[in-house]
Amino acid sequence: MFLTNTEEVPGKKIVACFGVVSGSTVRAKHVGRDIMAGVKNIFGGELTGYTELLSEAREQAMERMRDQAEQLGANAIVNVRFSTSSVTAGASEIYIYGTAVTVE
Amino acid sequence: MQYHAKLPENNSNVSSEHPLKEFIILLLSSAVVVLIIYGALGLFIDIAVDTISPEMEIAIYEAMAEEESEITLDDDKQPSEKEVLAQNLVSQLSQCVTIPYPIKLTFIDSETPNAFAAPGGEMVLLSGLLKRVQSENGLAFVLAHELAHFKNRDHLRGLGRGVVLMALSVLTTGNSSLSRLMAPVSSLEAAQFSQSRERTADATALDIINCHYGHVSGATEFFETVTKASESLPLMHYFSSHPEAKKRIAAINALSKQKSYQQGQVNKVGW
Amino acid sequence: MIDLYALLLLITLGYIFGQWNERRHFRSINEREQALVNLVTTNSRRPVGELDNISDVLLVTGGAVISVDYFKRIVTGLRNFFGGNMRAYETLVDRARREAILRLKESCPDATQIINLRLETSSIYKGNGNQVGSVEVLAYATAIYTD
Repeated sequence: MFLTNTEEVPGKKIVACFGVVSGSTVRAKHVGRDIMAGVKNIFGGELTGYTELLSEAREQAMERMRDQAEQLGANAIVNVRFSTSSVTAGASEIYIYGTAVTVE
Repeated sequence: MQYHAKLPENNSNVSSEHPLKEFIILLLSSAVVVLIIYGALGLFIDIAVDTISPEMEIAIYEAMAEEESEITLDDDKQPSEKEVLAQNLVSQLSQCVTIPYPIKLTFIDSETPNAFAAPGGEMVLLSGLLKRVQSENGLAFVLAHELAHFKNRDHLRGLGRGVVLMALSVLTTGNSSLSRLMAPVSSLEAAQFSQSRERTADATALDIINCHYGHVSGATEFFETVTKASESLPLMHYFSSHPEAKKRIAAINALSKQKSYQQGQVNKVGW
Repeated sequence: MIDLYALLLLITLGYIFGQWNERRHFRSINEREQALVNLVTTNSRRPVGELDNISDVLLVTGGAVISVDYFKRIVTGLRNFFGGNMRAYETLVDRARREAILRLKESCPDATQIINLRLETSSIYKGNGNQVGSVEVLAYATAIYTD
């Protein structure tokens, strides 16, 4: 499945359109990671636990969006946009949406 | 390009698992975590209590007592007959058990029939207790029970666990509703620990009584008066710091039978 | 002990009414989505196909604020300790987003196409500390009308 954040899939022609599909997730890390992040806040540097959380959440949301597109019979999602929100502290909420299309 | 009007059949953005299942699993896991943390800290306190020498305990207690000068005892007041009796009884009973420091008796005016062991070898008797007991043997068992606490150093263990429980609740106030949800678990653990120490103290007290009088009559007398007075809610005794009076009586009777302690004459003089 | 009973009561109330509300909301969302399924909606900048006789172009918006219930707050509080998927909040986010898009569509039911759909989240209500009590979604797009 093609995922792009442009209007078209370069080199392909869009033949059918299915409307907007989306994937979302809310995930958290266990308390040990939260404490480590607090400690890291003193010294600075990358919060690897939270980087991991962010990529896990992103992967899962993308997988869910792909699943929706497959249910509609599409083979590409164009114009993919990422959005985040803060539902609760210490959790990552990723929301992805795009237009499901068929390319050939 | 044509537009296909379609909706996905399954909502992949929402898990299908039942919310109550998740809740119960999470709740049980949290209870296990709390029990492990609390148990580990309790073990740590037990080790700490064993390393604190009696001299150190007295030194710490005296340093604390100097600061808390508001606890002044009424020395001018003449001790009553029963108070003198109790004081003599404690010194006699102390010969049957090895306690590293002299026991000082303190009397407090209160209707509640109770006695407790405080750090530094101070045994506190509430006057309600002296009114309730009907014989010297009955009082002797209660005093022997408190002496057993001093021997086993339960007063320090109880104090340490209280401090830990308080520290834990302070640390978890970040999420007050969650810590409230978990509070029964830790207090259940604390209560069960306390009850087991009480049972040990009862057994030791029975030995002391037998050593002093040569028989164990009157050992259950105090609990028998207490059972008549209190009827607690069902299940609540699991959260109580002391075992149920009924069970204590049964345990004491079973133990005295097992150790084949004799029954004898109860001393009612002065009561 | 009274404290604990009050807490359990709040959780039970939260669970019963929260679940009832959620089920009702999802049913309503599904019905309305089905009713509006023929309204062309994309997040591309260009309309689908060629459009002649465009009579009007409008910026349309729709928003929804969905609150958590007490049961969910407790479950996610526990979940935050152990980590993993916050199932209880997933439905919340899903409902808010779909409701916002539905309201956007319902504000222009006669449009030929809705293009360039964008979604924004905000935070109106933050409860005590960091406990957020609701999810807010704003959807905006361009509606194209033809004769």
